[in-house]
Amino acid sequence: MQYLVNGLIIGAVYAVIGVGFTLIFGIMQILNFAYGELFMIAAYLAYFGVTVFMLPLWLILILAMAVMFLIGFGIEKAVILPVRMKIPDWVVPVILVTLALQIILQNLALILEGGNFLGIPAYIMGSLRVGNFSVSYERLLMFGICVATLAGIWLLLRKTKLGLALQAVSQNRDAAILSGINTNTVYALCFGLSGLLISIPGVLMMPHLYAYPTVGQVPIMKAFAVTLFGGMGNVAGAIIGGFILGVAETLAAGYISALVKDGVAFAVMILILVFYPAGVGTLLTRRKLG
Amino acid sequence: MKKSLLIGLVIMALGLVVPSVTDSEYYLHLFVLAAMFGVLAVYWNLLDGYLGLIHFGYAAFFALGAYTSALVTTRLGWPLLPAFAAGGVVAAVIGGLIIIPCLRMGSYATAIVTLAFAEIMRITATSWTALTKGEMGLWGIPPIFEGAGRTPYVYLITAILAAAVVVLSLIVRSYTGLAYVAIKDDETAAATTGIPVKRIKLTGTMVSCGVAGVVGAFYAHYILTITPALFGIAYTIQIMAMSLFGGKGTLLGPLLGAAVLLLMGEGFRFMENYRLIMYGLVIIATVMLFPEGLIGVVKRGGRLVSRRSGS
Repeated sequence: MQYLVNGLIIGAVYAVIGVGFTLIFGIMQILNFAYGELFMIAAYLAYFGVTVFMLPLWLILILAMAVMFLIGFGIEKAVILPVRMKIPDWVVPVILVTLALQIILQNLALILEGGNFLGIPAYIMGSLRVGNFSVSYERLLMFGICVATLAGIWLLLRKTKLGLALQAVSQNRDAAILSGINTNTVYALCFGLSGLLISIPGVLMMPHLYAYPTVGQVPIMKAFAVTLFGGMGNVAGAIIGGFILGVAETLAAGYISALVKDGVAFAVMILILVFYPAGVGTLLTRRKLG
Repeated sequence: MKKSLLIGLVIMALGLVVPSVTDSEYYLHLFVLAAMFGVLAVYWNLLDGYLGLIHFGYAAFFALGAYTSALVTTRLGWPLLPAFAAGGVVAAVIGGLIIIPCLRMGSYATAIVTLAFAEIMRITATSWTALTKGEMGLWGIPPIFEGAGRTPYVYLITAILAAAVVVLSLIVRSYTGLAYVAIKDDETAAATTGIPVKRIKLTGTMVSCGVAGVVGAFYAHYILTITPALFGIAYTIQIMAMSLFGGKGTLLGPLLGAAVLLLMGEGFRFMENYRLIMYGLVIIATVMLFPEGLIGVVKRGGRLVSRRSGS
């Protein structure tokens, strides 16, 4: 029970990480290798927010979301847009550019901040005890914020004009252009949104991780796993995938050993993919059709 | 046929010339690394560029070959030649087994299965300390050439590289190679004309992983210490960047990409901390100027020259 609760909490975080990654794939068909580095920037923002500016958590979170949205938006406009304008068949070149961005951002962090592991204490102390299991308030808050974010992104995609535009572009780029959607704006907003999403786990996970130049390797592995597992570009699948990964990992860590937790999670994922090759997200669609 | 042998000869000649031009250990070491990554990039590209399989766990088969060869020589006392072969065979067989379930999945599912498998292997190598000594790594691996400096290694890896490139170019130009090209252009159309797509993908993957295993074995007996980090995605990404940077789906592009990226990484060393930033910027600039990869530059240059001389 305790493991299940912990698994669901970390699963919500993975789901947010996965959605931010899968959005870009769904809409642009590219893998953003610099995604983990956006997480890294958010972690540094949280570190400075706490240690230098001594801001409260809610303010750090809002500022980080705003800054990361602008960074994501800016990266698309400044680096990816020129490549897309110049090259008609831009998918592979853009992937290569994100790889280069990953290297650049990691080394910028190394030059600016050094290779130190910067940590901060927990945002909130204490934990909630019910019967014989306990959850720290911080994790509860993390769960709440992540679930709210997922609900928010779901509403955004389903109910707003921007969401409809995003969906239209992901379904058929040319038809979307013909119906008057400015795809360049959509792509930039999509990168911005992705940056906003990754900033949330980046800030919230800070007390559990450290900020250092290659911290992005952790979330990008999870993002890959969750995204591919849920079906590339499938937001619902990424959410389900996030929760399954979180629960599988925590159960494996609890019942077997912390060392094999990542291995078990990946094994579960391979097995499920063998039976549902297109990702678990298709189960939903299939039910809708049937 | 002639062309592929010519390419092989040029590579061999390069390998023979390099040690006589410089005797700096450092440059020879760089050459060995470039040739090694060249083989890996060329054979990764066989999967991605020709067979449409996105393999995210490629470095794991390199590491598998390295560990296999290191273990059979240190534990069982095998001589080097069978140990190299064992590295290749183990990598080929396991590479084939893991790709079988992938053949009925989409290309991105293949990416996750291979990535997940590589991570499982890395974790196994880290935690099975009785066999692999875990994070400490295996050391005390017998070298290929006892106390002979780097020159013989240059010759050996050049021979491996030349053989690997010639074999691949023969495969690509053979009847099977036509099937590769057909699959690359349109998988469905290839299947409808009766090409056994799955069988070709399976054998292609086994060849590719087997070559990675042999190169891994070479690495183990050259560097003499190996750690579980070799299984990690960082190496796969490096190989992938070389392959895409050089030119996807071409024979020599990845080789060029490996050489240029590796030498560039070292060449910017005078810029100290800024060198990797420069490296990233050069990749972006190249992508913008030459979207087909470096090989596009060479081809365009070649066409320009032949047009001039023709007129």
